[in-house]
Amino acid sequence: MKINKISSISALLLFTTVSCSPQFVDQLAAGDEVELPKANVSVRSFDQINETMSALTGVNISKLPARSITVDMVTTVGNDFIRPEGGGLKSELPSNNNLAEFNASHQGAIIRMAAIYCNQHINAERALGNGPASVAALNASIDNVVEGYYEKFWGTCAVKPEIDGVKSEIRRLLSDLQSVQATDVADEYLKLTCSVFLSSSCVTMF
Amino acid sequence: MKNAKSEIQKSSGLKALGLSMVLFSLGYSSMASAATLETGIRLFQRLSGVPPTSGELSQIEDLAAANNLKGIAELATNTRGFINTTVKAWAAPMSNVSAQASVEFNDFTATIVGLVRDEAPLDQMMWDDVTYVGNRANLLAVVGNPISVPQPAYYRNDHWRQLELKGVDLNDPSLFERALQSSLSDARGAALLPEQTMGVMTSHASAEAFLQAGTNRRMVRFMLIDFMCVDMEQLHDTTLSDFMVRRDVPRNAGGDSRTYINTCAGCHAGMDPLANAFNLYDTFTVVGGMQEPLGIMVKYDSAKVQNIPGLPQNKAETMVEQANKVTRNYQNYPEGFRPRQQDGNIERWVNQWTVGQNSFLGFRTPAKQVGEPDSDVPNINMGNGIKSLGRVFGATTQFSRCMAQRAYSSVCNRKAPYSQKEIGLFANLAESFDNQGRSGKALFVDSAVACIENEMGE
Repeated sequence: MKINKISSISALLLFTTVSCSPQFVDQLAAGDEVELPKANVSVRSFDQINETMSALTGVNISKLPARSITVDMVTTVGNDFIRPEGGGLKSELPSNNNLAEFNASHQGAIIRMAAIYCNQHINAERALGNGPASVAALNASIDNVVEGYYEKFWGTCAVKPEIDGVKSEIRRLLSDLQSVQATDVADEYLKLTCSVFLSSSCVTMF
Repeated sequence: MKNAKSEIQKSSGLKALGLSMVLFSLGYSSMASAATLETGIRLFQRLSGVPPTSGELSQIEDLAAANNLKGIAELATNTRGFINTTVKAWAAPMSNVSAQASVEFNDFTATIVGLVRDEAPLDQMMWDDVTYVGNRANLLAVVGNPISVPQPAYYRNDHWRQLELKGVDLNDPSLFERALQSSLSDARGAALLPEQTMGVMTSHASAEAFLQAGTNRRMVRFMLIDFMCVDMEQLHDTTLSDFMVRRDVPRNAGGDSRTYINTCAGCHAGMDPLANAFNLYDTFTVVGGMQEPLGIMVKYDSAKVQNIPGLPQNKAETMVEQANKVTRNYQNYPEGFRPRQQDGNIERWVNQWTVGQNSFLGFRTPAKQVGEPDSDVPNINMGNGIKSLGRVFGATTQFSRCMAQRAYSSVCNRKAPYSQKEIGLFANLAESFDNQGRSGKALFVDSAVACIENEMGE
């Protein structure tokens, strides 16, 4: 229920902030051609999201295992169901670029897909010995982590949120999680941070 | 412990969703102020479907500074994303009745994607002996195990499905290549002959979507929807002669012949003479060793209307005709048009739309192929077999306009109703398409640039 509310509010915000210039009926004269409101913003379709996330994370689409099992958002390693076999995410993601057809459930699927890519991405980085190894180290370097993703994933984004605001939100998210999590799960926090960036409109829209 | 972990996962999931949506809504709060570089990046992404790399970004910056939008579009069409995402999503809706883009990759979509990539004349998809398949020898380096991508077969989609599942780069000619549709085999080792093919219309996907069951009129209707961007209602013309309307159309539905004259004949008079070209086509279910169905394929079978040996002439013909999908329900009006081999009209098609209200389709004599004698170039008014039908419709101005409209809609996110300005754009894009050898890639470049310029001018 909470997710639905958040999604609905966000969707409303999106539709009210995207630029368009509606004409009002009382301003029209007889014979005027009615220009329907048009958005210059497009949402990426399934294949475009797949290719984009692959390009940004460096995870090769061809090398992903094609299993059709349920994926735990953060902790499952090595399993995914991105591709369409067995009722995968393809049917849940936008099928075209039309922003008017984009809805909250698409965004939910995008987050799941981002989690799958970030899972592979962080595991690959960890195998190379990159990234903070503990929660304490992560907390100490969180600004660098955020700046890294900000630049890497949102580099070509037309209009980006202020980085200080993003840092603040990520810090708050990690702090909330750490208050209820006793064990040291730096990788999971990293994957979560990565997923937040990868599933944002800067990546999924253009 | 398990509960605590579950709680954390749930909590983190909710927070990620929430934060993602906040950032999602922040991202486009001030989109109205578009700079030239932003316009260039948007144009690039509309074609490539993916963000530019740092190297591409640098090129976009230079091209945008020079106001070279076409250069940016051409840069985008050379990326793997253009073929693997934009063109693939553009072609997929044409391969199924419900026009869904989220269907699995199939030979219909593959053929269109390949023709765009290779800048071949796009109308080849309506008549040529062509398909696109993965090069299994070279796929080894990508997928590791070549057995995981089965041989392309005419009766099942496994090959093309696996190309998608394995994420094979369709932009790489060494992995994804042109082949003859007639070279694909069914389980018996026999498939269509080259002259029996009609591009994507005789593909496996088309067999499943358009040819299976019914009366073969669906093939004509979806040829018009997919490649002419018109449906039968828009071509309704009661002034045409109904001399080739089949016997299954009742002439006095509900006891009132006016319904037929004023409604039914408007579509059937134009459609049935064209659908006649498909008379000998049907679908065929291929079965395995245990008689289990393996899949269906297009079947060309002239035996369907030939006499069965050992049976009396009249009885054999009746039996065969009753089993034939294009002659079923002949009792509705036995005096209607009856295609028969012995009358020489079994595959003859007649085009009544070259004059009158439907002449807006713009029929033109198809271009002569290399080595083709003049006498073999199809006539726009009538012909024999589906290949000539595909060539005639593929040569129309409406085909070019339709492709232009589809490409523009794809890269501009526009759907009907279009403004008068946009309809004018389609005509210009169609003309440019014709002048550039009907290259799908060039059409996408022109359409994306036209869209951006249209938006900039608003």
